[in-house]
Amino acid sequence: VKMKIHAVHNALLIIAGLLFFTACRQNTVQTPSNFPKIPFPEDNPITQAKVDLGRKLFYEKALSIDSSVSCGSCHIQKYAFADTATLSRGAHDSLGFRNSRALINPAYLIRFFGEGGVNSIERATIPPMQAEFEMNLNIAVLISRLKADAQYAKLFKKVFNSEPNHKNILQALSSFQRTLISGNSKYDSYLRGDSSALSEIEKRGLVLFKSEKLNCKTCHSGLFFTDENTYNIGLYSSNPDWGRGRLTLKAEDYGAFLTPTLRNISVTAPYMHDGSLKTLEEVIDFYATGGENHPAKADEIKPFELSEIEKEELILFLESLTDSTFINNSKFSDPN
Amino acid sequence: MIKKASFYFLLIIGGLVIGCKEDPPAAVPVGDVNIEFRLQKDGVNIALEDVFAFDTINQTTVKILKFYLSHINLKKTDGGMVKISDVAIIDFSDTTFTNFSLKGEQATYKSVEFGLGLDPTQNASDPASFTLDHPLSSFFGMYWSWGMKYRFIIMEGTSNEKLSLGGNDDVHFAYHPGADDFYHSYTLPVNFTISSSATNIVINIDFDTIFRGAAGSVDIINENQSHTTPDDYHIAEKMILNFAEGLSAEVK
Repeated sequence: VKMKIHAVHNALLIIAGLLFFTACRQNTVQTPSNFPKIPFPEDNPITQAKVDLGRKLFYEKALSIDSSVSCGSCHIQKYAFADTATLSRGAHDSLGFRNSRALINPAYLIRFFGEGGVNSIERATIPPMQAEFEMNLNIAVLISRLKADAQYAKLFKKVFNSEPNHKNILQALSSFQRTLISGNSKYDSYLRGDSSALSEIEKRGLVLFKSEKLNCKTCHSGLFFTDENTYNIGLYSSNPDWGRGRLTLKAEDYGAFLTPTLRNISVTAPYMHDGSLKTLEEVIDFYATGGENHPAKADEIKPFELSEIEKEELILFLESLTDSTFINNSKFSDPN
Repeated sequence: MIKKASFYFLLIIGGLVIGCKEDPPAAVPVGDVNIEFRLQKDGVNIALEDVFAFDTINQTTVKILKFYLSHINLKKTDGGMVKISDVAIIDFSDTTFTNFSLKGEQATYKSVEFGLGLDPTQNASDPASFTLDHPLSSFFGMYWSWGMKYRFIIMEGTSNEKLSLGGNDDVHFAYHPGADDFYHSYTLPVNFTISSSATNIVINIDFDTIFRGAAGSVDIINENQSHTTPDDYHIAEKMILNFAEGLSAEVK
């Protein structure tokens, strides 16, 4: 009997621990009620201390070779963690070759970068640190810098009970990025049942967005406005950037890029992988043409006609996807 | 840290030479084996930054040369295999990564076998899962992080077709072949014996063959870049096939 009581006691303790752990997770990352549970990786459970460390690292310029840029230099909070520059500049003022992608709800995504060739936030955090035109820093140098910094050494010891290393640096940075949840736009309120959250004109824009005529929803689908597939949308008839084809070397992937989210789209200009379109009007006008003829152009891209009023309705709907609490949340700002 | 990588290589060797055989005898006699990698032009050793003429090109210099070998084995004359390492990086910027000392089972051997580059499983590795002294860590700058794969070879340098290096008309070349399809296994014939006295094996890489091998010439002036993208894939393919052809082994 004693053994049974002991077993039940232990089981209750485990359950209580699990419940507490779940509660901690929920407190660390606040998700809107209409969002699914965040799929945290088993080997990188989230904690507030890890998020805090990741946030500090996100804005740490020592992550670049000349200590001139941080992650936050090209992923700027007020632009929904995108950049207003057509092409961002990295360490030593070097110029990148693509427009900086917004970091919005990355916790829910499984494909990253224009090629869609990276499958986790942890792995997606490596390229900017390595790339010559971004931070251009060998990981060994970064580790040395962090070890030599008493504050970081203390924080890593506290969070990981370890010195900084490649894995835990990525885990901390990824944990912070997983907290970048945006789900408090007018459209979200509308989805949660407040039918007055969208104006009549925004609702007409929503109808247009979902219409067969425009076909936006095929790729910009679901709660996060992305199907996480790659498409050649006919931006060019040639291949100034191979897109996913750079990864797969397959002709059908030439010039194909990962569908970006449309959340906060009104603050993430310029648009397209190369930042070549400056406004939402230009983007809609481009899609209306049906794009350039490219052998790999997706079948989903077809020309359409839109009146000026309809265009305005569509733009107003897109603007209703802006989450001002996200771009102003002090929990995401530079703590340094 | 760099020295540790060599230690890592040796650790694998030490462990595997003895550990991977079936039912090893209680005490297998081993001997010292030194393996050195050399880049050569017309049979003469060249180091990084050396300046030399190449075909009709007045001056050329190699600034970076590093590459992966994987599944390295020594083949005995009796057909038995002695595993050396799962993966090694050869980096000419540091002799720690061109000169390797190891212990090998005393026997007669007829070849060195390896894969040039990484097998598909290795190529899909997560660099953050390795300590920095491991060849597959990010430390060595071989990881193509945007595609979650590795470069197999990095060879970079500068050429000037008509004048001396340093002018405005210098051509900077960079070859980064790396793709699962490029992975092949090779055998370098070399007869040697590991005994109680040290054995020195040299693996030569012939510069001319890299650019003029059987897979086709690579025009260092006009085909000066390949990052294994669709428009330069053919250059990367020629480069890695020629590179393998340019490898030879000898006993010194």
